[in-house]
Amino acid sequence: MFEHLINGFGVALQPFNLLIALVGCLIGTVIGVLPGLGPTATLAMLIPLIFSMPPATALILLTSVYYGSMYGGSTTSILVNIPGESASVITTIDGHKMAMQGRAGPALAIAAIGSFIAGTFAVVVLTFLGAPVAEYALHFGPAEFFALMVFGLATVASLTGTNVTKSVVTTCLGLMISTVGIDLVSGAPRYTFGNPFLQDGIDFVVVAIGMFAFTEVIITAREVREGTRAEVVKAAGIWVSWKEVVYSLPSIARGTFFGFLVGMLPGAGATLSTFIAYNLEKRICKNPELLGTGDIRGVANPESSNNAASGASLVPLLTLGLPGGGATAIMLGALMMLDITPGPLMFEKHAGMIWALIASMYVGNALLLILNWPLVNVFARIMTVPVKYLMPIVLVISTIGVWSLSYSEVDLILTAGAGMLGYYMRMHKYPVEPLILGLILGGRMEQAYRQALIISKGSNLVFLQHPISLVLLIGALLFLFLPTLLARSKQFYMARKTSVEAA
Amino acid sequence: MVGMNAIKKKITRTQVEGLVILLVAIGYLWEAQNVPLLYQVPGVPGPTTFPWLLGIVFGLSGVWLLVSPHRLIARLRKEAADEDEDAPEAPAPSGAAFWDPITRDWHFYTIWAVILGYLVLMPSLGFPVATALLLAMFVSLLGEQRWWVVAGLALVATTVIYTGFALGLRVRLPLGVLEPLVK
Amino acid sequence: MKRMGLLSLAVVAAVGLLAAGQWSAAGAWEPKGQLECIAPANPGGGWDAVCRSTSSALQKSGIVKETMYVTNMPGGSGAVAIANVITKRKGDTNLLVAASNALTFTMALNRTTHTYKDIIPIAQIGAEIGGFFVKSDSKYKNLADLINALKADPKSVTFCGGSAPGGQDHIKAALFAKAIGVEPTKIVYVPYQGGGEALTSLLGGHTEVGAIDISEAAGQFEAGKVRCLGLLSEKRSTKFKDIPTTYEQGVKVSYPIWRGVYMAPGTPTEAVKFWSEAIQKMVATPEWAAEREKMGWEPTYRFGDDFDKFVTAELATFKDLLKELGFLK
Repeated sequence: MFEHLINGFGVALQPFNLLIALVGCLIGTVIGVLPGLGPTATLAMLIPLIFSMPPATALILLTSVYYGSMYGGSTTSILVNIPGESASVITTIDGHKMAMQGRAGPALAIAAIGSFIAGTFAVVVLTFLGAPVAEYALHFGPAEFFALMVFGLATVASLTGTNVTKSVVTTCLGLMISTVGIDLVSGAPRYTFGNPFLQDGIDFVVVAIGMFAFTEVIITAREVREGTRAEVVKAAGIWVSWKEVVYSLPSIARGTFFGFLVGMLPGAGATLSTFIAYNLEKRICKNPELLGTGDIRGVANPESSNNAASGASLVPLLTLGLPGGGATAIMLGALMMLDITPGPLMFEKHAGMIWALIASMYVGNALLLILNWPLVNVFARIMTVPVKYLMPIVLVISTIGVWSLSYSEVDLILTAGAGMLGYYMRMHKYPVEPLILGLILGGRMEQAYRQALIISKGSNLVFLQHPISLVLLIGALLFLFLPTLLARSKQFYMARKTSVEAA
Repeated sequence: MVGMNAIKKKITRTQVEGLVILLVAIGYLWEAQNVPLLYQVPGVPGPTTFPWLLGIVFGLSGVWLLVSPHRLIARLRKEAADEDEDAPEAPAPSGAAFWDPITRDWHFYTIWAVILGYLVLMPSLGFPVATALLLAMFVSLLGEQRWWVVAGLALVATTVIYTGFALGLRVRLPLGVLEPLVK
Repeated sequence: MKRMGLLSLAVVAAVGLLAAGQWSAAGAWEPKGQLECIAPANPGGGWDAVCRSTSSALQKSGIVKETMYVTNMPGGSGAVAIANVITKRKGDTNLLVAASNALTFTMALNRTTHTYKDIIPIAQIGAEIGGFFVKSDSKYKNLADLINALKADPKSVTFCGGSAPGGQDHIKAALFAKAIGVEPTKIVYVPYQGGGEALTSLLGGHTEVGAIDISEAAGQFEAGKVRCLGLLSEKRSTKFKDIPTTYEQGVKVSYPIWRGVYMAPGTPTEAVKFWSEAIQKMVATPEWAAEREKMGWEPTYRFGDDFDKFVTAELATFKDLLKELGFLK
């Protein structure tokens, strides 16, 4: 194996391949930074290019774009409170607060460091434990998937505010939006009102850009006008301090671990992993009350978890030849075009190419860390651009992101609607994050639910009979009700204590 | 003292929200009837089961918001007493924005109108023209008064963005009214 | 008279030249700018393979000069893509869309209001054979085991496939059931988004028998992770010669799957002509032979009107079949 890996490095470190990896990382970073443009569409666009280069080089280009986009996603989350990818939604919570406190540099830097650690971890696991780990992921059937989604949504419901009802409302709304379009299981059109444009469903990017980007622009405009906009604190330093790195390390480790676990399951995805990792972080870490106030761990954790997840989603693809959805599905297509039959035999039949690809992932992670050194500097300076110039430009770029989805006017109008709703929700403390997650997970969740019931011949007990799904569902219940119960009992305890003391 | 007035306002708003949510849920469930029933596996959930589930939970949350003001009053009183974190942000002006007279908030509505106009007109007017107009209007609405800064920013930013996205990232951006010029 | 004759000759010649010029201009019509092939499913499935292989062969053999991009547009077993093409891409001269009998099923089941009349069928570029695949350690060793299990209790076997219920992967199982005297509607079938996902569930042991195509299972089959109980065919596959067919094992069911492409409605005649000819040229190239070999497709082709008539007839046949099987009222 080491021999293969060293050979792989031999290929990956050839000057031309190194250059391609660098270009790929740059392209990836750019599309990661830009809201609305994602790796899936870009990879599909790059596919024809792979004819014009050697197969190994082509694969290196695709993976480095994929990796780069995950590094770039956090940038706009931190700087302008607008996630660049759905997997960076969570990063906005602490990231943007840090930027407002003059700590944009450290936030960006820790995102890069966390991403590097997580990405490298994922590749190391892929190198040494790939096949057994992927085999394990296969145990996740429809019932387990449904339970995992429920678990993910339950953690979100208790994420943002104190008001569980509002979280339930927005989660439900997200799921309801996801039912618009042609039903993926039976092919029946739902909630399309006869409008063919709605048959494809409502893309989450449309809603996310409306609710994050447009809302943010409006709120900023309002604050600027009313003079209530908080001044950005002058940056103390651009790079992150050692103390902060050490402080974030446990969070990075946990984010990496949970991100990898969730990301490895075919189709679960990086977004879900960040939500789950951040919520578990809130329960596990010391001083959890600091999370959400501009704590550096609130950036380190989700950013490492989304990179671990995107690395992990390559594990079933490369070891078993099974796609994990989204971008990895495009990569599977690319493999087939390169005359590689995706399957367990890839490592034997195309050892050179696959090991070059794995080696290039190590290289890509290192390149991205180096690349981010100067980029953090550049990006952190964006905080000094007056918002009256910055926000209109953000608005235009976000609009392009929506337009590029399917070049449809309907999407633009829907974005405006989402923007208005998002503004109202922000003003009245309805959390946006659960809505986005509900929208992203809805389709797959329903599909898994119905598949599980077909397998169980209509018996709902199936979700309780499978041990993994049972554990996840119990976990979901605990997440939903435990905080309230704990608070209650604490109140009760305090009340009794005071009454006892009074007596 | 934020006082009982603000609390009462917040409660009526919550109840209005509850009502709206309930109505949306009912509409959603109603529309589920219009989903055509194509072939289905007998005995397992079809295309409307999941929507029904969602609609009911959504509706129930609406009802909860509608009928739970008592708990809310108690909590809000406590929050008001504890000087809740959103008190200094003065929720009154922002919270009440939708009911305020339009004249007082003309600026807010103008911004929305400009954005809506941009989204509606961009495909037909073309990206460059619409974007330059949007940028100019938006920057001046945000308080920039020097006309040459406004015009310069609008033109330069539009050119840079168009070049970057249309040529660099191959996003198909409509040229609209500029189409004849290119040909 | 002579002068007149000369003059008229000149006129005729001029008109002729003009006409010829026009004709050659029309003949030389070529698509300009980005070309696109829409695969109405996720990457890794049969429709995706149609687009990938076609665009690859067309470009490698130099039949088209521009780059051809592949777009994946999954959903509703092709219903999403056909709706999109008909409403948003009318008259698009640079667009091919992958199709197969799965699309005919989508139409037959009224999953889309559109039929082949609303689009322009271009060509069939190959045929594939579907089969029943099981995990290597499955208790079903051969087709007879499966038949006995289904006869004992139709609900005891869980089938999976990449199409919606009533779609082609489901129909494979249903036709088979009918042939062995089991009530087709009693079959348990779990739909997935494409053959790749179905295969994942098969390997995970969540479902038992995959009613999928050879090309989708090839990687796992070669690695010995899945076995094939039988191909739904009269003749053996040209690539996988060792797999027994249903006919060999005494069940007279065959189900050849055609692969082909269609174009958006309202496309100008010269563009349709260009693409139809391009595909005809393409299937004769060694580049295509290599692609076809890779996918394990059989060399069965149909073009233009011939293909149009074939798919229209197929749609009528499928409607009857679905009614007969109890999937359509």
